[in-house]
Order: sequence, then structure tokens, then C-alpha cells
Amino acid sequence: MSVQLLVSGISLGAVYALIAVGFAIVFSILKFSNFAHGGMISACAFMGFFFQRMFSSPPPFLITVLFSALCGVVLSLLIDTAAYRRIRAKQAPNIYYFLASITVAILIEQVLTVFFGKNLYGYPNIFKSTTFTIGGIRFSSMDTLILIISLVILSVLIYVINRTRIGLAIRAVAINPATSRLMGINSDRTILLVFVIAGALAGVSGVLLGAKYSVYPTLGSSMMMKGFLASVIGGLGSLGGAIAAAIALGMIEIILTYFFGALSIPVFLFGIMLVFLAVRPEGISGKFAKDKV
Amino acid sequence: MKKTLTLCLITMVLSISIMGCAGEKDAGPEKQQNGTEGSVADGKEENAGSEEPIRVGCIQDTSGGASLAGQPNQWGAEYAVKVINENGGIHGRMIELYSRDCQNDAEVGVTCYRELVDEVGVCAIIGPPLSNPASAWVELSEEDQIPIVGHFMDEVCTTDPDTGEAYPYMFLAEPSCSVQSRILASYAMENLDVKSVATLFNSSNAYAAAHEAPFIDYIESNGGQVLARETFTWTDTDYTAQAQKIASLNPDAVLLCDYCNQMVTSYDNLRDAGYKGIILGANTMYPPFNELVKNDIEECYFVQNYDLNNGKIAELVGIQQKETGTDYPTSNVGFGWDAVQVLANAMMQASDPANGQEVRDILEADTREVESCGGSKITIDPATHRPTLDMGIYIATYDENKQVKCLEYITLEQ
Amino acid sequence: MSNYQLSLVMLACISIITVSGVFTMTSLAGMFSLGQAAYMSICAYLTFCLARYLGLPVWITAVAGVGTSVLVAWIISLPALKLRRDYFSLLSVGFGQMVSAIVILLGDFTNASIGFSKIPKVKHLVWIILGITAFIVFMVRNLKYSRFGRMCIALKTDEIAAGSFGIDVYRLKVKIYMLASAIAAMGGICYGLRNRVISPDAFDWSLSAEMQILLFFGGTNSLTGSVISAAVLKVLPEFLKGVKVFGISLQDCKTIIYCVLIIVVINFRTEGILGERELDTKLLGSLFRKKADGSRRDGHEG
Repeated sequence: MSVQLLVSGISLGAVYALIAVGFAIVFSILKFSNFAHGGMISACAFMGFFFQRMFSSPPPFLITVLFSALCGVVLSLLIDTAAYRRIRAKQAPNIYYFLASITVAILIEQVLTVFFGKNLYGYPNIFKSTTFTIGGIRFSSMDTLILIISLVILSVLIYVINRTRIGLAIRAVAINPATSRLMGINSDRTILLVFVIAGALAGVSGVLLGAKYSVYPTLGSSMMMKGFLASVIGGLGSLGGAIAAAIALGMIEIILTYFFGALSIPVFLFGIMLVFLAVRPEGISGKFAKDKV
Repeated sequence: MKKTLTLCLITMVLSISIMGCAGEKDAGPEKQQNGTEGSVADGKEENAGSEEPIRVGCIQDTSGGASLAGQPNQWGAEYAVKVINENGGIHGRMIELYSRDCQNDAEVGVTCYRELVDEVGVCAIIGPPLSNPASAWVELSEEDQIPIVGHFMDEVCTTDPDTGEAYPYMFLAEPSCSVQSRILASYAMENLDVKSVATLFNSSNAYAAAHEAPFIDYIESNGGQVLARETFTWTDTDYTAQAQKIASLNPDAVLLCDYCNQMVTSYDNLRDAGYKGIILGANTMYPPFNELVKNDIEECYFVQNYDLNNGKIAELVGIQQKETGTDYPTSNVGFGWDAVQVLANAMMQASDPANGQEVRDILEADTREVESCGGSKITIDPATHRPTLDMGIYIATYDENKQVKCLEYITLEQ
Repeated sequence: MSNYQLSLVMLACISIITVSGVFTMTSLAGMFSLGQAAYMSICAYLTFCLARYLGLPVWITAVAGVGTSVLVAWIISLPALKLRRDYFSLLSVGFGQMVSAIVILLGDFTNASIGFSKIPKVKHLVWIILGITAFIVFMVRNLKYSRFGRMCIALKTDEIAAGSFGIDVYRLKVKIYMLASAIAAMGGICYGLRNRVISPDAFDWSLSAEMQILLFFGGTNSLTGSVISAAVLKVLPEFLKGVKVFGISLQDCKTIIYCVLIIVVINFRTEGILGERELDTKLLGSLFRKKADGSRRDGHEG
């Protein structure tokens, strides 16, 4: 039983990890919490759904994922242009980013509710059977797919960030955009690239979540808190930390729910958050802890 | 430049509000409701005919979390009023229906109620199938003498839980959730040989909580065993842990009683966890549940207020689907229709249909055998303001083609 | 005035109270909290549950309710205010969810998700709520111009510099947080008295987010701006009922419109519509004096 629980916990954690990374990337570069990420996830889930419904027989799942990633990129750049760019240019305090991102998140959710709230939608089945068993433990097919895709994407991302020049540019801009410009790095373009990556991640997350659950307007925002928490506990500026924290979060959640019921989760999470952030604010492996004044 | 922009913004906001005030007169009755030409947008004008129209309010959730149910509900009520007006209205007086959106929020519901009663001057209200807004009106309706007929299934909306007496001006036009859950439980125990149950529901959802408690109550008082009562909240998207716990206990049946989205996830999680037993559902298990679940639908039994393939309700949902473009038929269309029928039945018997107190007295004492669009008859029990126990509910299941099939019509009287 | 118009007035007042509370925290001390609705919830439930089960009048249990909110705020703020601002906001959302979960766990007393209804009617409620609103706005305004308020603004502008002036940054933040929670608590009581039913769903994070949005719309540093925007934007949807644009009712879109307006305001006029400007007697006085001066000057030149 406990092995089964662990497996489910890891699967849930993989879902959170995908969201946490998209979140962490923007957080580490721009130092603000991009709440709009949740809205992008919901919007991409819808767009992917309508895309694959356009065809008489559903196209291969990967095509939908790629299309959705593309939509995510476009949406992310749109949000940046409309909401964040001027704030960045004015160098306004962080609070405005936060507020703008929350407003965008609410806006996207409302738009989806007004136009698409009337019906419920769900992706068609991609697997013949939803579970498969290995050695007495049930694995959910969808969860395993999500785990595999998450790991692939995340390893690609970590490779890019740590081993390529573009990744170097991203890390430099994360530390200080102004100095990076002095070093010949185009900070603005790097920031755009970060939004592109976050958008693509949102697109992929959206389709995977939509396929796992169903497609409805609050799909993204319901996962946001957990993703946010995972990326914060994992530590700013650290993707590996965000992933580890997300998987740990998934396992804790499953185990707590099993033994104490679902209502204990908000109480425990709050307590864990409080203690953890007070004791180790830089997260599991992060670097930035205090407010830069 | 900045000053101009600020001025522009302020002007825009002001102009929208002025436009809104001017347009407010259009917030009156829908044009198609009125058979006569005289009763125009103002809503306060009198008819070309000699009789004043009867103003009835309709409060539904058309844009909030339960709008999937609220929109068909509103459509059903409006259509019923249209049909009544086409057939001569209430002794020649036309009904004007004023619809408002309460967004499943008690505060907005109170504002809508106040506006309808004070500004529009309605004499009765058709209520939503939601208990949160309705529980805010229980005392208001008595103070203002406005009878409210609706589908707020929770018994606390029609009877005071402390004294057991009915709230004088609240009326329910379908079997309460307690009755529905008990019917489901009795069917499970008697026809499906269920002896042990578990429940999986959203404890922050009033609808779910109000269904789960009477179900457990019935099971326990009839010798059954409750193995687990697992909960989740709005913010949870995954119930794997709860499902695995239930699967390992392996009860004969599991009750799911949430809104469609959560039911889909619960069902999938349960089947994925290896649970092979019977799954019982509340009346929200209708399509698109069958299309959204990833697992096969087996051993699934749920309650339905109407058999959507037969009778007047079939005709109504057909028209509603065509007019509004919704993909799936819902029973809520029938709810709106039924509530209006019950109210109109009382108004027909009243000497002054606009007199709230008189209509309320008739609703309480003389609502007998009102024809519901599902074919059954509604009689209001004066002690509870809910239908008498001869109004029952269908037990339905999904057949091999994943279509809803109604098996039996059961009432608690048996 | 009809009951409907009175209920709109009460709606605006409750909005003003809650936004004033958020103003104290965000504008005076720079803390961004998405958990104020949780304090409304704690106080409302405590007040009305005690009133019903112990048979005490509401104004006595209200004291207990507000007191408990302040106590909880104190306990939470001690560790939470040591964190950076983003974490603090995250924590406040978690706090809100925790309070909702606790309310449901205590369902035997609070009726959980079904809602705690039949809160008794209070006569002349409008005057009571108007009185509370006026008192709170007056208090916050005086706070802003007092020594306490100036310390807060110093704190918000630059914590390290403020600390170097001898301001105990941490204790000040704790005091502000407790004050803001007390104001939110009173807002919760008024909410319960107006609607006569409270449920955990009513006090979720979207309510807190709405308060923040109203605050920023009116002006981060302007109490007048916040009060006006709180009242106007909350009540505006009532007047927009029935207006249809492109076949979609404007009331459904109201949140969309607000969000778009907020994004526009943030982008083009980051300080909010009224910015720093406040309505006060000096301003009114100077307006009159300008007119007088102008006429004198004209007379002189003419």
C-alpha cells in the first residue's frame, strides 16, 4: 500500500513539477511571481482542445502538445507586451508586477468563463486502458506520460540553462540585467526568451492537465498555489530545487490525505510553509533570500 | 498626456454608468414574454389592455460556478412564462418575468432580491437550484411577503432546522436532497444488495454535503456499514489518495455527489485505484459525464429527476438545445418549467395574483397534482413546503452505448 | 430611500471598510496580503456563532470576534513578517485557505459549506454601518497624518533607512498588520449583518484580490482614491445590469472590464487614478481662495 501511495505521490509531483518550473523560470529572472501562468495553462488547455476537435479524427497527441506550446508562447509574449513591459521600463517596484500578474490571471479566467463556461469539455482518450500494472503496483497511464514528458522537458531545460550560451545569458540576466548589458548580452531579448520558455511550458502543462482531468476555466489557477509553493520551497534560481520540492509536495499531499483527510492539507501546508520559510528562506537550494533594498 | 488619459478613463467610466442607467430600463421583461404590445421596455407602464401585468422575479446563477445549471433553469422559467402568456396568462393578465444573476453568491443574491422587490416590485420570485443564496432569503421573504418557489434542494431552505417549522414563504418544487439520497440508498440496499458503503465528496460544496449526510443516515439506520467518508475541497484536483483508501476498504458501493467536473475526476480516480464495485451518483451524473470519464462506465447508478427522452421534458430540452446551442440536455430546463407551473397554479386560484400573502396561502394549502414536465404530479405538503412523498425520482444508469437509461421510478412511500 | 438603495449603500460601505483595512497595510506599510478575507471570516463566524449559542447580543460578541482576529493576526505576524514580501503574500493565501478548511472542519458549529444563516435582523442597520465606515475612514486618515503614519510611510519607502532612524521596523509592521486585521474583522461583521448568511466560500482569496484591485485602481497612496474606487466599482455593476455589448451582458463581463482597466491604469498611470492626491480641507480651502484671488486679479487688471 505504501509503495502504491509513493508512486501516486510521485506522479502527482510530476504534474506540480511542470508547473513549478514554468513559474520558477520567470521568478528567477524577473523576481516576481507570475500568477498569470495559471491563466495561461487554462487558456492553452482550451486552445489545444479546440485545435484537436477541428479535425475529423483526432491528430496524434504530440501534435496537439506542440500546437498548444506554440499558443502558450504567443500568449506569454502578448501578456508581457500588454502588462509587464511598461512596468519593466519604468522600473516600478515589484508590487506592480505582482498585481498585474494577478489581474491578468483573473482576466483570462473570466474570459474563459464568459465565453466557454457553458459547457464542459474533455480531451478524448489517448490510451486504451487508463492503468497498467507492474509487479502489483498500479500505474496510471496518463500520470506516467506526464512524468516522462516532464522529465524530458526539464532535463532539456536544465541542459540549456547550464551548458549553453543562451543559458549563460539567462543566468547572467537573472543576477543583474544592467551589468549583463555591459557584458554584451541583450537583456531585453533574454527576458523575452524567458517568457517564451515559460509560455511553452504553460502550453505543455495545459494540454497534459486537460487530458488528465477535463478542460474548464479554473484548471490552471487551482494548480497555481501548489506550483508556486513548490518553486518557492525549491528555491529561487534553482530549477532542480523546484522539481525536487514539487515531487516532495506531491508525496506529502498524498500521504497526508490518506491518513488525515483532505481538510488537513491547507492547515499542514500553511504550517510547513511558515516554518520552512522562516528557517530556510532561500529554499532547498536557492540563492536569493532577502529583499534587495 | 497623463492628465488627458486620466480624464479619458474617468469619462469612460462615467459614460458607461450613464449608459447603464439609461439602459436599465431595458433590464425589464424579455420582449418575447409579452403577448401584448403595450407593455414596453419601461416595465412600469401599463398594458394596452386594461389589466396590469403580474411581475415575477427569477434569480438564477447564470455566470458563476453553477451557471451550467442556472442558464437552462432560467430558460425553462422564461419559456414556461411565454407559454402561459400565449394561453391567456393568469385570467387575462400577462406575466412579466424579470431575470437576475446571483452568481451563486449570497451577497449578490441579497442585492438581486432587494432590487426585484423594491425597485421592480415583483410579487413572487422563482428561485435557483442553490441553497446558499436561498438561505439568505428565508427571513427576508417573510418580511416582505414574497413567495419564493425554487429548486433549492437543501431542507434548511424550506424548514427551520431549529424549530422544524416551514419557512412561510419558501417552497420547493422537487424532492429534497434528503429524499433523493434516501431513495438512492434504499434502491442500493434493496435492489443492488449493498451492505457497506463509502462516500467521496467535496466538503466545501453545500450541494455535496447536503446529499451525503442523509445517505449515510439511511444506510446506518437500516443496518448498513459505512466504511469511509472521504472528502476533498475545491482546491484539490486529484483525489488519488482518497480513492486508494476507499479501494483498499472495498465497500459494496461508493457515493459520489458533486458537480459534474469533480464527479468525473472522482470516478476516474476510483476506477484507476482498482475499485470495481458499484458507484452511486446524485442527479448531477448526467451527460457530459459519460463523455468526460476516461474509464468505462460500469456499475453506475444515479438519480435523475426526469426521463429526458419522454414526455414534455423531452420536447423542452429539444427546443432549449436548439435555441441556445448547448451540447447536452439537462434536467434544469424542467426545473424552471416546474417552478413556474407551481406558482402559476397558485396564482390561477387567487383572487389577486399579485397579493403575496394570498398566493402563499394557496401555495401552502392548495398546490395539488400540478403537472410536472416529467410526468409526475407535484403536491406541496403544508407542513414542510416540499412535495409530498408521492413525488419520486428515477434511478438511471448508463447502457452499453453510454446513453442514459432510466430504470425505475421510485418514491419513498413504498 | 428604498430598501434596495439602502442595501447598495451598505454594500459600498462594507467595500470601503475592507479597502481601508487593506490601505493601511499596503499603502502605509508596503505589505501585500491576499488573506484579509480570512480575518473577515474568523471574526464573522466567531461573533455570530457565539451570539447564537451563548445567547449574547451581537455587539458584545463582536468585541470577542475582533479581539480574536487581532490575536490571530499577532500570532501569524510574528514569524510571517520576517519573510520577504513575495513569501508573505504567498503565506497569506495559504492562511486564507487554512481558515476556510478550519471553518469546514468545525462544521458542527459553523454549518460548514451550507452556510450559517438566520443571522438576526438589526434595525437601522444602514446608520450603524455608515457610522462604522465613517469612524474607520476617519481613523485611517488620521493615522496617515500622524507620527505613526509617517513612520509607516518611511518604512514603506526604505526599510533600512527607516531602521537607521531608530524606527523599530519589525514591531511597526506587526502593529500595522494587527490594525489591518481588526478593520477587516469589522468588515466581516458588517457583511454578516447585511447578508444575514455567511459561508466559507464567501471569504476566499478572490475577495482579498478584489480588495487589492480596488485599492490600486483608486491610488496606492490616496485614501480618497481608494474610498471612491471601492464604493463606485463595487456598486457600478448594479447599474450596468441589462446593458448588452455584442450580445454579451455587461454584468457578466464586469470583472473583465475591471481587469482591463486595472492593467491600463498600472501601465500608464502606475500611481493609480488619484495618485497621491487626497481630499482635504486645505485643498478645498485653496480652491475657494483661488477663485477669490482670480476675481481680485481680474478686477485689478481690468
